[in-house]
Amino acid sequence: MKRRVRLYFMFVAQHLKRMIQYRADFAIGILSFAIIQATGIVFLDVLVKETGLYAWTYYELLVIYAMFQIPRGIDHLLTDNLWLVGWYIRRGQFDKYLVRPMPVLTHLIIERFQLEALGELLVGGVILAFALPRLAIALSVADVLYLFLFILAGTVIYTAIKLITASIAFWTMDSQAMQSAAYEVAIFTKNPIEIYPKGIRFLLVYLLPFGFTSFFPSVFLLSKFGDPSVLEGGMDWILWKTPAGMLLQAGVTAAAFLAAGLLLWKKGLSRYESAGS
Amino acid sequence: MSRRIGSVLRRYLPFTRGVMQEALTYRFRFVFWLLFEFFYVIIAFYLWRSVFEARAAAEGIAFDAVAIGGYSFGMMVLYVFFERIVGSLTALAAENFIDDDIHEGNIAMRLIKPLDYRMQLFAQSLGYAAVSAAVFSLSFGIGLFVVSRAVDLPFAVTAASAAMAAVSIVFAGVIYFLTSFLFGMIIFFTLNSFGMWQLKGAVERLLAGGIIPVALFPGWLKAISDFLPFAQTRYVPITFLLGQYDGDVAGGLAALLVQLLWIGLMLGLTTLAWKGAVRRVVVQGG
Repeated sequence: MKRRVRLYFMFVAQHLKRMIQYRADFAIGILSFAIIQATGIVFLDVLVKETGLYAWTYYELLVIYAMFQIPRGIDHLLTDNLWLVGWYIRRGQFDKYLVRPMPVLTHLIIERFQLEALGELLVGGVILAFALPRLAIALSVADVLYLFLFILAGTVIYTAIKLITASIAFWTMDSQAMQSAAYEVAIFTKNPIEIYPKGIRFLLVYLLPFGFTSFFPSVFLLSKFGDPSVLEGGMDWILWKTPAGMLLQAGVTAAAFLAAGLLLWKKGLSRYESAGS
Repeated sequence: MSRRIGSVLRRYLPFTRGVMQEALTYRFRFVFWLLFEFFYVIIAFYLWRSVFEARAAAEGIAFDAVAIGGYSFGMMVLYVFFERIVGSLTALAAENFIDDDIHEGNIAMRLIKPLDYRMQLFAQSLGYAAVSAAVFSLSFGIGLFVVSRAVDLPFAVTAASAAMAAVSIVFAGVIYFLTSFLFGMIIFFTLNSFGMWQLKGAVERLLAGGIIPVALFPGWLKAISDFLPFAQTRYVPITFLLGQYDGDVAGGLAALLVQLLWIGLMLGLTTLAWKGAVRRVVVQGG
């Protein structure tokens, strides 16, 4: 374990050196991710400032939007190399991971440290800092712990879905289009999910459970349990409609998807054949 | 004159055909890409519905009576679909090709051909756009038809507006290409593509009217948009299709003239940028 941690920081240090070498590129990368995420705010700003949407006021909608960025940004920062599995396989570059004294997946993940994700985290942080003081929220220590666990579960869900779709490349050689499609389902959860029909909400809770990455943590953070439209709309597929129940379901979902991803990865890896040369 | 056109076609059409064939080999990707595009439409549909419902509740009026910036809900749904359809028809993107040329080192081979690089890219972008436009227009056309069973869509366009829309779409495609080419030249200078691309994509989406119609822009954003060509590539043709110039042919022609002026301006800028870039080209690998 200690060796792993040391190795990880060695990899990160390499990345930071590269970043210093190409300062302008990295600055542009971070800035562009921040601007991409910020453009969506224009919609909220122009259209729902006075009215809000259903049970959510403008500032509360901003919180959902900000919460969306955080697990996504953390996952983006840490596991970006999962996007390139198919590409490595096709180019015959995957073999190098097999001959290193480290588990393949570990090596693949720590090899890349994607600082552009700071753009997303920055937008998330700035919006939260803007919106939260305008809402009357008092967080206890336990609440902060809950929130931390929600973010952890949300991050794991992102990673797991990327891992599952990346593993498919062992069979098909190329799974990036599928990977993008699955990943982008997440954008449904930039908005309160009660605006969608029941079927889409089912998808966002059980099939591609991105609801746990932004919407449900926001329900918790803003104590929206008392609101009937949230209870009967957005939360209709949640089994126990309490903070603990919701967190439990988030945790179980994240663990199940991660387990499925690891299993599929292992299965795929065992049938991997090099692309020749 | 016609012989000259014939010779231009003979020289550049193979580029168009080549890209079309290549695009068709990746049919599988189109399926996912299409799925992806439909996400945006589905989200936009429900998001707009909730916005109109919220307005109706706040103003105490019926859902159908709500108008936001002159758009009823039906018009907004039409707008969402037209935005995707016109977008797919006009997206003559060159930056993918330029990026490949630079990163794979093909640029040297391209430059020694006795052909105009800008025209080669135009022919290629046209090939790609032809395939994607066929796929997307058809799919979104079907989507629009399905939605029209459930929502009352106020689609009625005069013959004059339809004709002007067609011209406007052609102009929009040319402006899109030139903008994309100019952007590709920036890639020449910085050799960094991914972040810049994403940035261009996001700014374009916003300013072309992909998030909200330009008519709803706040003043500051409208001011920025007026100085950039993005609204010309998507929003302007849509206004024709939504009937903004029905019975106002003079207004429509003025809008087309503005597009023509943009084409002239962008032609000048891309020529200048190309001259600057070609002197600084760094051939990687090859």
